[in-house]
Amino acid sequence: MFNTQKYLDVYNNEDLYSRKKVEYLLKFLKLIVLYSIFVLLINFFNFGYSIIETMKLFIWLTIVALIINLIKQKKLEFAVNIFTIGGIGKAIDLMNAPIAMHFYVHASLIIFIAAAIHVKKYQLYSVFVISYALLVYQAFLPVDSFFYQTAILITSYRISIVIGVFMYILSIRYLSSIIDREIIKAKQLRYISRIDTLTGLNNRLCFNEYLELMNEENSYYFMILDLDHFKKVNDIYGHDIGDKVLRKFGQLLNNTVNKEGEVFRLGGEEFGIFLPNYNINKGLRLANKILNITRETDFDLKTPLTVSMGTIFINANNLKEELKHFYKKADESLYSAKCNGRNQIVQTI
Amino acid sequence: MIKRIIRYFTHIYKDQDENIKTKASHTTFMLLLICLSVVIEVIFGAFFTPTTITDLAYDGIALLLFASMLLLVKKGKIILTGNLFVFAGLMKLIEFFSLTHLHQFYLQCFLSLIVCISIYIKKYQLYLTFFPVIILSIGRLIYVHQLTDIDMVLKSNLLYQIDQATIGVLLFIVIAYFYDLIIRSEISNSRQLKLVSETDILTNLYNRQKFDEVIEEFNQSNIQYTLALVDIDFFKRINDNYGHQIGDHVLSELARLFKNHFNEPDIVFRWGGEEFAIISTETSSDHIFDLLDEFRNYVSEHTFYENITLTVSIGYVISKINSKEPLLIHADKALYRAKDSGRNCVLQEN
Repeated sequence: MFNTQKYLDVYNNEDLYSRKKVEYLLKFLKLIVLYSIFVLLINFFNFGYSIIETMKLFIWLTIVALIINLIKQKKLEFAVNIFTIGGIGKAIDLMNAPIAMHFYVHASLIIFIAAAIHVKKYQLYSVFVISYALLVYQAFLPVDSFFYQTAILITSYRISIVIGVFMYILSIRYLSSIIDREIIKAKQLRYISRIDTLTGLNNRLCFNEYLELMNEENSYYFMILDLDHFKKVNDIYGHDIGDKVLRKFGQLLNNTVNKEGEVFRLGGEEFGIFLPNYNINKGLRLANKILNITRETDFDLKTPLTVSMGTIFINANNLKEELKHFYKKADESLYSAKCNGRNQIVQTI
Repeated sequence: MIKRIIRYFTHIYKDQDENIKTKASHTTFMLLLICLSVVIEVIFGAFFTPTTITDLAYDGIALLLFASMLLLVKKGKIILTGNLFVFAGLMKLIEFFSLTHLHQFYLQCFLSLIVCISIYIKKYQLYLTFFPVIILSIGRLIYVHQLTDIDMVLKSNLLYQIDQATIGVLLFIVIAYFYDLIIRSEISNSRQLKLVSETDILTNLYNRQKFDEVIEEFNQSNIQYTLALVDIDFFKRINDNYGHQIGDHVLSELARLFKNHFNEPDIVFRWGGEEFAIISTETSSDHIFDLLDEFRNYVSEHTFYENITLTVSIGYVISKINSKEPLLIHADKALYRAKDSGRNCVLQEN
């Protein structure tokens, strides 16, 4: 019906939690708007036109517009608060009505929805407390004797509400923890499938994703790094030491690159670095820095550890084209570096 | 603390599918909640209403019923428990259908729906809750429309309220369906998470992390096992001569050969770049040598992608009974010796 994707896009780079909550909030807003209109129509059908009910609907639609505006401005917590206040306001409006079944249903719905859309714990708990107070208050109002004809029935009705709503709230609380777990697991999944667990660097899957999301406005400097004679390290010192070396090297790369680019572990002893908006000079300077620091760092081995690199500059003008062949060219340069005696950088021309 | 109680009852589902594991936890929680509510209701009831023996008996039976359902969960009969839940919910709905339980009916609808989406495993359990809720709510609506022995003003108020309440129930059902989607997505994420964290993407074998876990388990228990390390001879040449993509292809093909040759309960892991590990419960020295040597031979005679051939070196060690000694070092030594003695062979470390 209404295109909500554009609101979600504002949260695209935000953490998964906010993005999911916005998704749920928008879904519920749509649902509630439809529900309110539907209820109003049924009302008119049964009981004729009521100007007060129409006014209330318009007030509610204004509140919804305000909430959507707040979402666009990334004020998610505030938006949820307004939504909650609107809901509770409506509940209070429905209180004290004769029979008041509508009130019970509405208050239960508020509790149900709060479990999904709250972003901070206090929002959930305040909904619980306020709704429970309102429901219990309503239960203790005088009831129509047509339905509850004996005192026992009245008391058992009140007990059912007091205990039943409490149990309802506990089960909703449980449900909300399930929802939170869902978001956490989704985040973990994203993380674990994109990170190399040994070094903590981005893995090859992440690398492929990075290629797809590359910005056509930037040019990039790319380097492939391959540790020299790494197999010998594993053979002579054992895999435990080999793992330590890889981890230390990964840290070294991260420290040297220092957030100006992305570091990837592409294979056993192979790494890749993307540097957006670095020209050849700047890129070569950094590559040389890595070369030297690696050689000078103590990896607890008898001989210094060295690395060979193949580097390439990717022009912004022709990004799509260049992305098809850049890896092969950088790999060939790396091969030259290995053949030429290792511990050096070969720049692709 | 609640988690510990739940784990006590769901211990038997530890190795089952994520869906069953999760639903079992939810079922246990809901059962505990209901037992709690019955107890509280009895206490409140005793204080505020005259309680007869029959009332106490009813409550006692209800409590017994739910407690025995907890037992059923512990024994693994999770679907049966779900069915009992659905049945109990249905009975409650019918009990509250009459207008003497005016408001409780809707509360019960909501409770039934929430419990249902948390615990259902089979689709029919879902339908057996949703449809009765819809039918009974609309039934109530129709029933009130037909009422005649009632004051007109009261009836008009009642109709208004019931209309709204019934639409509210329908909305609740839509939202419950939405929650169901979320729960299902959580279960699917859990499944994938488990898979990703223990599987090597390229070869589809278990990865190094899983290996560490399994080795630890074997060490903790006192089962004798054999650990074999398999390393491809001169794999770097394949990568250098044919490129990494073909190298990857060869690795996944080799993984296939592993899976064909080694059956359960033996487990194969991708241990490193071109190294694999096998944990076998076969501990007879002759048998395990034959098994491994057959494989070595099989690989040496197999033609891989692009007519590539290769050989493997295998080093293995059999654990001593009741010894907690880490075998990895010994298997590594055996592998090293195998490489040293000319490769393409199988050697045991003593």
